[in-house]
Amino acid sequence: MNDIAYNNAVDQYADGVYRFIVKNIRNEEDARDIVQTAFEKLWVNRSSVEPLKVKSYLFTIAYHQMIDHIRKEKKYSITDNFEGAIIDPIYQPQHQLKQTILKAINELNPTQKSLILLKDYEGYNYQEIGEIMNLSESQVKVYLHRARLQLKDKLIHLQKVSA
Amino acid sequence: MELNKENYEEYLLLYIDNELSASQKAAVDAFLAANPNYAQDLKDLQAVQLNPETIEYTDKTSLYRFDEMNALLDPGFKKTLYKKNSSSAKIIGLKKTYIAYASIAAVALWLVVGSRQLLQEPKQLVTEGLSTATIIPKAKDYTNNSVPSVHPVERQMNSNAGTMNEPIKAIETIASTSFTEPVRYTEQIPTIEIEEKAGEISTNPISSPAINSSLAAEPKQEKESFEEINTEDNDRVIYISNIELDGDKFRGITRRLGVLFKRNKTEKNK
Repeated sequence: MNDIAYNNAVDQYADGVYRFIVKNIRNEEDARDIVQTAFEKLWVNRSSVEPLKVKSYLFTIAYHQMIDHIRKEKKYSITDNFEGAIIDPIYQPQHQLKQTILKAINELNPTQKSLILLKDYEGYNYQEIGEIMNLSESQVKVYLHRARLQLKDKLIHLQKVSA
Repeated sequence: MELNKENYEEYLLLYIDNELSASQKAAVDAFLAANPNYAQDLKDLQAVQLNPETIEYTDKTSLYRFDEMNALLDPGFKKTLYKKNSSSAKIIGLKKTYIAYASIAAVALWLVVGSRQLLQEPKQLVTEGLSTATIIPKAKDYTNNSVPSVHPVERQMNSNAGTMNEPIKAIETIASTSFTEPVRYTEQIPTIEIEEKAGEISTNPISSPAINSSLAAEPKQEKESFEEINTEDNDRVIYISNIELDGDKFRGITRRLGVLFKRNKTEKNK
């Protein structure tokens, strides 16, 4: 991978990686830092990264960076995260149902959230998600299905409450 | 594959996750068509799916990297580049400088030689005449400093002219012979001095106007009279000598270049 291919990867995947991270941690600056780190690592290892694996490589690095970041954040304070969730401009509701879904998604743990984001946003299959998140294909399937059913139940419950 | 009330939810989840084959998808569609009460489950699951939204990473250019920039930033990478190219680059660099020096030297030499040639051509035409002029001072020295040295010449002249011992007469004969016999011109050159010397004393009608005139005028006169023969003789000499000189100089250049290239070769071998 030369610098041209690398810069093409920046153009192609920077938005996707950033979206994946910022939806998870809901902090734009931290998300940018994680994306930057991911691309730095890609640049350093550009000779060993296969051209077809560049995207999943970026997501893998970004995911693990994000997990580290979340662990650090938890150590410092839980309230910070909570406040961030309220102020977060990305989660501005467009309509009621979406707001409800997003609220429910935000209550999921990082793994579940990542599974949904990688599936729905990036369209990765179970195997690819497993590679990125260091999980087996069956684990991906089980965790993702559990998350979806959890969301569905919440949505139904909220709809019943509001109705 | 069989869909039933027990396993249908998993298949719905695989359905929305797009993890089913075309035939499996068709089976799910058929099952939902047959059991419309489960269609709501699919709708609920689809409702909690996230619709991809575009979130842009602003200022992507900040992530761009370039190999050259990296070479400047990363000292390790720079070192590898230097190592890769240094051995050959150094030799090439030296070669280039040597070649440059050599070419400059060659051009300079050529110019010098060329200019000399150009300057020499008219000069040598003059020196044809001046060849006498240059000899004249020598002869002058002879005559002024050492008298005995003049005497043999006189004797020679006398022998040529006949048995005359008087310088004036000798001059007369020399003047006459010199005009008539241009071959003896070179021999007569020293005698011109005598002529000059004697000219001051003598009143020779033929030699006096030429002898009494300045030194510069003397060769000119002779030149006019002996131009044809002298140019032929001298031209040959000059022409040949010039080539010889040029050849030597070029040999010198080639030798120097050869030495430089040999040095390079030895450096390479080292």
